[in-house]
Amino acid sequence: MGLKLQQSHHHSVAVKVSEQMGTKRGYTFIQANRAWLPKFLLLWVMVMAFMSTWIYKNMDADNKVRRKEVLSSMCDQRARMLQDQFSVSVNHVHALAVLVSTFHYYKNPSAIDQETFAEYTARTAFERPLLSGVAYAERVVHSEREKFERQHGWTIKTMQREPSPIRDEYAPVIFSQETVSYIESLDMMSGEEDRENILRARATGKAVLTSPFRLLGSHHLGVVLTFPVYKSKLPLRPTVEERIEATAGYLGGAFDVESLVENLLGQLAGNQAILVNVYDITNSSDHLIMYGHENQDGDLALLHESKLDFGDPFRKHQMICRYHQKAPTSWTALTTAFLFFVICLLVGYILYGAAIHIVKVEDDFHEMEELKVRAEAADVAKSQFLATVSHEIRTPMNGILGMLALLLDTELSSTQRDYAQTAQVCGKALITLINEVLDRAKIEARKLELETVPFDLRSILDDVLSLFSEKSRNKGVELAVFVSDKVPEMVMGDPGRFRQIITNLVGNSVKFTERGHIFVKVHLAENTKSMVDAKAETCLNGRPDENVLISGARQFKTLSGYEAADERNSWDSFKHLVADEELRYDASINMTVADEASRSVSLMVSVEDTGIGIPLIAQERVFMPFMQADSSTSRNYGGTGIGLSITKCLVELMGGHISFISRPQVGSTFSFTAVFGRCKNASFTDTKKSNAEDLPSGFRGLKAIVVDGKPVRAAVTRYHLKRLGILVEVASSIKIAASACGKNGSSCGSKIQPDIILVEKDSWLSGEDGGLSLRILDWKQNGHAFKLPKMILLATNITNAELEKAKAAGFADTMIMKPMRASMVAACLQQVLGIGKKRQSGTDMLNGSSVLRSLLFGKKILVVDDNIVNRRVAAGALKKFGAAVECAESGKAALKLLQLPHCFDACFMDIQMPEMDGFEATRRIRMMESQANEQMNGGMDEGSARKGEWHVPILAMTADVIHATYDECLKCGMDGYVSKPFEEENLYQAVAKFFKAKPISDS
Amino acid sequence: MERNPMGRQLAIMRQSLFDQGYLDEQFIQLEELQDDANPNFVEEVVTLYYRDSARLILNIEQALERKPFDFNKLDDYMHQFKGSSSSIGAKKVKAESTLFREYCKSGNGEGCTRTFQQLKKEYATLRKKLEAYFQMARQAGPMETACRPK
Repeated sequence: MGLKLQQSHHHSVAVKVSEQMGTKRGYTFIQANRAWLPKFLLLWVMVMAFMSTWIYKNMDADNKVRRKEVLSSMCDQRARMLQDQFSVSVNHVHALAVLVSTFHYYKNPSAIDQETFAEYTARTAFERPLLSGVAYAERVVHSEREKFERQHGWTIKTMQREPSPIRDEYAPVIFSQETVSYIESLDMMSGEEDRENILRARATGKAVLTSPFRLLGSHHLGVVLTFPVYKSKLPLRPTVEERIEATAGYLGGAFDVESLVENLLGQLAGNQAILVNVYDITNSSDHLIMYGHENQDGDLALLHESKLDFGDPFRKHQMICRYHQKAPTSWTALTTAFLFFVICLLVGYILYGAAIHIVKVEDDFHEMEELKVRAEAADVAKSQFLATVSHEIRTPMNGILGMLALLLDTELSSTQRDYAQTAQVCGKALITLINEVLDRAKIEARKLELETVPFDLRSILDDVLSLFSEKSRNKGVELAVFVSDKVPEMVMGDPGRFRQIITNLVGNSVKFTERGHIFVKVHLAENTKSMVDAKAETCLNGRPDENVLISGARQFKTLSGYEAADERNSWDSFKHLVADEELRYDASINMTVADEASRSVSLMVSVEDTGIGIPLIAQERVFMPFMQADSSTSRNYGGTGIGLSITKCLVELMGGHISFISRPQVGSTFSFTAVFGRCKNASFTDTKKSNAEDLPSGFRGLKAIVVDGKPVRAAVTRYHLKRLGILVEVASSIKIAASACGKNGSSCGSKIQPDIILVEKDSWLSGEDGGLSLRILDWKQNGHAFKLPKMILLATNITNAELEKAKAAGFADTMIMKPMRASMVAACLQQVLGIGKKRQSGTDMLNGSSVLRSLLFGKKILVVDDNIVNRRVAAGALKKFGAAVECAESGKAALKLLQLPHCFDACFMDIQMPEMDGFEATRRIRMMESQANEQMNGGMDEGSARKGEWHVPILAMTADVIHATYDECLKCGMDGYVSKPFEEENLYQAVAKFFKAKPISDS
Repeated sequence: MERNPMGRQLAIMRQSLFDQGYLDEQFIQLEELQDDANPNFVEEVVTLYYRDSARLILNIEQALERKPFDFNKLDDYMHQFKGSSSSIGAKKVKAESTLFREYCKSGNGEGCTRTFQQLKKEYATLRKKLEAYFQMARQAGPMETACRPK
């Protein structure tokens, strides 16, 4: 049951694993076999156990072989030695036998008797260490017994020391060594073994041995060696009978094998370790032990047999050796094997652990990955949600705002009006917020794409400044913009987003600045570097005292005289920039050639204010969404704090960086870089034309003197005037200016004759006006009136009293309220100088619809739309602005109406129409026109041809205002587009391009 | 305005059209185009709208009867219809036609049919409401139709 459970568990795990494998990708081998890991481990351990056993066995076998070899060599050595010693003894006995035969039988009388024999043998006993003793027995046949007994004086006795019974022959011992003297007179033939020995010895003529038996004298086991002694010399090959016949007696000796072997072993090393047995194995079935104990413990497993040859061919002997102790356990092998096993076990475990870890980490990784995907999806969903919701909120909000606007137009009591206005302001704030959130969401969802269209950076800056002019003027904050001359007039980029960035930064500055100035400065990024270098130089040279004491107050050489956070904008460095530009002005041709080569231009824009600054703690999170310096900020100044984060995103999208320097209570300077494309030459000149028309060119060549004590501000004024083509001189005070003029007045014509003198209010108020006004009066009296320079007062804000005073002082001509804008300055100058149409100067003051009316009044416009309702509405809208409208319901009808020559001033064209759509119709109209133009060019000379060139402005009417459509519009020859249904501003923007230029070109 | 009950009622009625989401700001724009030279501009345009769109609706109905649907054709018709609707500021109708076009683009015939029914309903409701509104406006006098006093 348990097993079954286990199995099913395994099964489910396997299924799980396979499921996971199915759903996920990127599995490694380990991950794929995770269920097998424990089994792998077990298998590994088993294999390793087996291997270590094998190693142990191997080593042990080696040991055993070595042991065996040692044993056999020892055994053989012993056997050989025993054999050698034995044979030495045998030889000696042989020698004795020869001695006996020589001296006992060949000599007559015998030279040997018992005494000499005993003496001799005793003295030569060292030669026969193995023999306990030797004796000589004579062969006596029965017939000679009596003679023999008489001769020796004793009877022949048997071994049992009894008189010998009668036999065929006898072998009584006649000589014996002293050690065995007890066997004298004993008949050797009476002992069974001796007798046999004797018989064999005389038959073979060699030494023969008995089987081992207990020796008489001692209880040691021993063998008896018997040697025959012959009476006469034997023939060369004697037969057995001959030998028996020749036999005179027998020489015998007893080998005490036991003590003998003991002695021998005692002389050898290692006799403790091994056990030696010597056997007589003549009878192969019954081994007779000669030495050693029959039943001995010892290592029975291992033994070695060595053959022994004692020189008796009849008898066979054998030595068996074995170890005393059993083979000792081989610790080396055991430890080696064990260590091997342990190491392998550890390795296995480590691998297993690693695999488990890998599996775990991979699991975690997959989990994390999934979480990451989910988190990203959530993020995207959030952004999408924001985008959608914001969009959905905007729609009703438009309704609310519209209704509020309508409500405000009705007759309301002051309280009601106040409520309604508050609601509208709140609503607008909400819309702004929603737009910002939408932007941010778009940026986060990477959906925001920047367009690249040519645009005029300067006019955008002017627009933004004019947006905030009212607010800044009310606060008394000076608002100024300066664009370096080196910045190209037209750049490729996203004007809307650029405007958004500037608006955001300037808006922030305006919000947080109560005094001083806000200064927007644009120059090339590479220029900044040189400027910083210059700055560093001045620092090295010893920092000049840049604070000038004027009327007791600490004044800084910034735009307004207030201290700014980033000193780079102060005059010291700024003049480097300006000077640099002037220096390079001559070489500008070369420069521009070089610059044209690079496709992009990197601009550095900084917005400097002298506001409350950003607290140091909050500086880190300025660019984080929804973070304001602290909660009190939003209470005091409003806003959500999302603006800067969007700005940052936008700047980064433009390929730049944003950074800021801020000092609390001093101000902040935000600087950012952005990369724009350079306009290609063709489009450049094209757009430049329209741009140049934007600013009237009637001021070119005029000369002006700017009187301003503050060099930065003077540079800004000069920048604006320069854009109008006016040559500018800067004078730091009225006195200097007056003297310059004075010289002029006194007919010294080398100096410039100023047409205009612009005086900064501060300079004028500093008490030197008297001189100037007197001078002016002087001139007037001297009849210089016709050449009198126009006096213009520049002011940020001015009180009525001051105004009166100014008028009295001679600034009757006009006054330019800051912030300056080229177009506004132009308008003022037109007013003052009487150049150009008055209409132009009024442009900015008029509100949209009346301008539209002025633009469209009397114009003949063709509206092409297949939808009758749309047609009617468009016509109605245009008619409202005073245009004469004609309608066409299809592209074909429009073509017919636009056959040259026609008298239409413009054409509004729907894009999506049956049969011939707007694009196609426009293409055909353009083709028609170009044909006509060519014909005319052929017929007339250049000048009149230009005049009579046909090009009717065609504006697309489309509901989807996406840029792809816009591009297509331009591609097929349209001049612009208006959204459908018409919106006033949109219509104005589109129409203004064509109709605005006319009065000026007329003039 | 308060002094004229008729005018007041008219203003309420007009506002309710906006509040209930039948009309959007485009309608206001139309009203702005109405002046002495074109005293009945709005009504004129609306009448034009209903005359013109009746044809389109008929076209669409016929196209919807033919199966399989010719989505391109339907989309074409609906584009025109939507253009007209947005010109008079018929918000709900416009929303329905936008939905219809979405279905066309995704090729959802069933969605088209359903949306078209809804569209017709909105279209008819708006017509009823606007007719009532203009009738009252005529009674109230031409001055009151110009809701934004200059």
